Amino acid sequence: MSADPATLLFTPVRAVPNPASNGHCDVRARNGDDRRSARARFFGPQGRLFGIFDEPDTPSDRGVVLCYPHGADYDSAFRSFRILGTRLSRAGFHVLRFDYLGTGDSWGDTEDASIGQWTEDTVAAIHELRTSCDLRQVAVVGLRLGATVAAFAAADCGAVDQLVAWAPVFEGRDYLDGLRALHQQWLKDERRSGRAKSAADDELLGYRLTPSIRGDLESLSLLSLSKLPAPSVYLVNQEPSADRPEFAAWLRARGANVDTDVIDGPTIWSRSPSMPEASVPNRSLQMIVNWIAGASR
Amino acid sequence: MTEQGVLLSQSLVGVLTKADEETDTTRPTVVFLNAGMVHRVGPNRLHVRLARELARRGFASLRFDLSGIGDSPARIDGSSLHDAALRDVRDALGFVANEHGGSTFVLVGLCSGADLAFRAALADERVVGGVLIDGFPYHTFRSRLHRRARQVAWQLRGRNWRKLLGSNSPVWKRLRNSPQAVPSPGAIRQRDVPSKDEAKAGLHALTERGVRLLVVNTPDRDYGYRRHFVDTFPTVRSDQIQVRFFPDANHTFTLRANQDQLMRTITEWISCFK
Repeated sequence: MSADPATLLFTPVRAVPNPASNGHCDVRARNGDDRRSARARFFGPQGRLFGIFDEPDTPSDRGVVLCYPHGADYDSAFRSFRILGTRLSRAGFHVLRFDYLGTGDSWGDTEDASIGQWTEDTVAAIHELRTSCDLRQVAVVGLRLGATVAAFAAADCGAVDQLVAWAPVFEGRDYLDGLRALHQQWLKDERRSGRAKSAADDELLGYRLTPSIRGDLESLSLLSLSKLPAPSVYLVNQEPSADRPEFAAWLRARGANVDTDVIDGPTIWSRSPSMPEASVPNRSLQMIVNWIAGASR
Repeated sequence: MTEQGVLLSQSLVGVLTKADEETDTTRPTVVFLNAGMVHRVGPNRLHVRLARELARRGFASLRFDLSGIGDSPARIDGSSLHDAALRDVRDALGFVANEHGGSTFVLVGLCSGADLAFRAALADERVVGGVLIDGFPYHTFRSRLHRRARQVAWQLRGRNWRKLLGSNSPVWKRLRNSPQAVPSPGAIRQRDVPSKDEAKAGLHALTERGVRLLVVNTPDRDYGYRRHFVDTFPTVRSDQIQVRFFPDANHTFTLRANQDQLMRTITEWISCFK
């Protein structure tokens, strides 16, 4: 019987300083029965990116890189991504979840971030997982802005076999407008309660919106991809209205195998700023695992 | 400044942040506890920003996930959440003490993290300070009045005045109810909050032990107002307890101005340990 993802028991292995990463350490943990292991370590250029590496029960030459969404979406999607990573590793994949520069535990602040930088970070993550685990196949899964970044990174590096775009951001301007509307509504409610009098113009839902990121988002369009991101693509949405059939048609016209699904379940993004909810879209997660497992055979 | 991924005890994932200068073991190591279900980076990445700012000021820090939160797996030894969390904190302090030489600690917690920081400080004499943000969620007479006023204002918002002021109006019904009939806020039901008496005794014990506390409150909870701590614990008076109220902030410090103000408050307060 396989272990429940929430109850993996790790045993410690002493941290080893990584001389190439400016004092960062590589720690490795294994479960009690030695069948599953995971690592938390910095990697990439100057060891600036933080990643969690989930390892499969048995030797495998297939891997998946998970690309988080950004900002408030990251906070509320984190738990689902952790569970997705565990399920994929149980299905036989090496998995890397990582934080882009200026996000999560990775180096830098928002001022260091840009869509171009995050695309480079994703390419670095794909390279890291492929080379460190000697993989034959790599899939990339991204949610919201993470899906769009994943598509550009996959197209840039040409080394991705499957791409899962989960509720991708098709147009950065629409995404920005949606976040602004949510932020303004939240501000309105806060001010009605006598709070949030000091809001600045350059922030959205808890995170700074730098001129660089704002400019990147205003010009971002998934439909401007110049190359096919992967031979197989899975487009997942949770609302029929979010679907953009022209993107699937564009991919198919260039020879990609494209599957699409609209899956009911709780959305784990675009929430009002509050404690992130613990809800997990189980069906979406399982459909993604099943698709990758089927597509990578 | 350097940061490294660490594995604490048997299973807890964390990141240790160290200052560039040689570690001064007389300074406490700051340990960030999870705010509710938010993983170790904190709401809006607050713990990461604070850890790096503190490192610039010569303080090492650890942010880690309690078992069952973030990247740390749940314990399977049958222990209660209460016991598991206290053991996690003890293990984390032990890890820092053994592996990195820290002998004293300051715990930082928001919401349930504040409740845990308070309990862990009581349980472990290595803790010399605590930053408790939106902890002690107890109602006072004044907090009930504030809450009722907000409810009425909410009821009146955009409603039909005639209907609202009629004899069956929910406004009159609410006003007729006694304050004691107000249900406890959800935070109290969901959090593992110490009883008020336990908190009062604990505060006395901590101040007698010389522990310094920074108590931060926001108005984003039913109980939050400027004098909440003083009204709740009128007999707890000590120079070791500093109380700060952030009238403009919400519970998770969403606005950058509030985040920056909180960071300034904590970094200035912690200089008392130099």
